[in-house]
Amino acid sequence: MLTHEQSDTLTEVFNAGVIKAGVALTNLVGHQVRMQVPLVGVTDFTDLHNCLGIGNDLQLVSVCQQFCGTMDGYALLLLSRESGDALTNRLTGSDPGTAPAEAERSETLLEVGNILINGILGTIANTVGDRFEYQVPVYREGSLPLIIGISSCAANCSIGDSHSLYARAQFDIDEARVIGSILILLTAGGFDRLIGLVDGLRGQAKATASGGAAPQTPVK
Amino acid sequence: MARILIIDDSKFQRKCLSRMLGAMGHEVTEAENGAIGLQVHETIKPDIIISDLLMPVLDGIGLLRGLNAKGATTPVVVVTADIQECTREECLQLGAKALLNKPVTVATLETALGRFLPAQTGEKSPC
Ligand SMILES: [Mg+2]
Repeated sequence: MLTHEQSDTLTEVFNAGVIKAGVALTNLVGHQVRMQVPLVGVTDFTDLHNCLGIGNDLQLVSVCQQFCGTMDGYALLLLSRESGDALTNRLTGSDPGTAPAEAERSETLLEVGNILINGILGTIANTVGDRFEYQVPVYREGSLPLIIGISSCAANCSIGDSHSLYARAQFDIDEARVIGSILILLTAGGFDRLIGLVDGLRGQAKATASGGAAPQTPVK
Repeated sequence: MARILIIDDSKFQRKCLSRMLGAMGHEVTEAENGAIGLQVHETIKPDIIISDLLMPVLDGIGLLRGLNAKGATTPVVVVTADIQECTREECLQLGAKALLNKPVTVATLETALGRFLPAQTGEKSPC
């Protein structure tokens, strides 16, 4: 459970990362990318599709990057198959509407995922004064439950853990009709440590402000 | 023209960098990880190395340590998606000349090469 204050602080930290990732993606595709203010929450893995608004049957392409440090977990770039193809074509200079070769799609999206995920995680690390060690990103295709299941298993994140944080950042690129999401999932221990760091940040902010502390109101 | 060694596990990134450097008139050799990069470095004696950090087998940090252990003085420019301040500091401490964040532009690459390529390759001298 997050209080409103924790949720606000987390959203602010993630938002700075999302902006950084958006600039990187804009430079990569050479076209303005619109990044939405991230949605941060706590959920059960089984309810993730509702939080993300992604149907369990939709075929997705994904890039998964595990990280460890003070917080352990993994980040996912999720795109519909069509958006993955459109983004690949845009970056390889291929004709829009054509289906890229498997290898070309995975190679291109792996690097896009790597850049976007690092933009967000790196900003979080720089903000809270922490350091993440990253694993080499992995490309996967399938439904949301399949991708989450395999990625969680690989990263030792237990499925069904009710204290798992998700942060969803959506972006879209008009010209190439790309809509995607970036998800960050933490282990239960990682979640507790992030909340501790966020509370530390809020404490610092309060110390510099002259007003009194507002009461903490739980979210959900 | 300079002899440039690109070390990156991403084929997409190697392709992008090769295209940019080729258009600048440089001779490019590619390696897909730090271990292969160290071997190729021995063979081709590049004027500069452009290296990724996150790679299987041997990463960019391992590459920098390997070059230091051999006493190599080839300038290394790290090109990485990792934007963490502590990563930048570690690379510079290990002797990297610069750290550029992906995606790099032609202008950023040209500036870095101009600063770090040895004068005998015909490039601009260090500023
Ligand atoms: Mg890499």
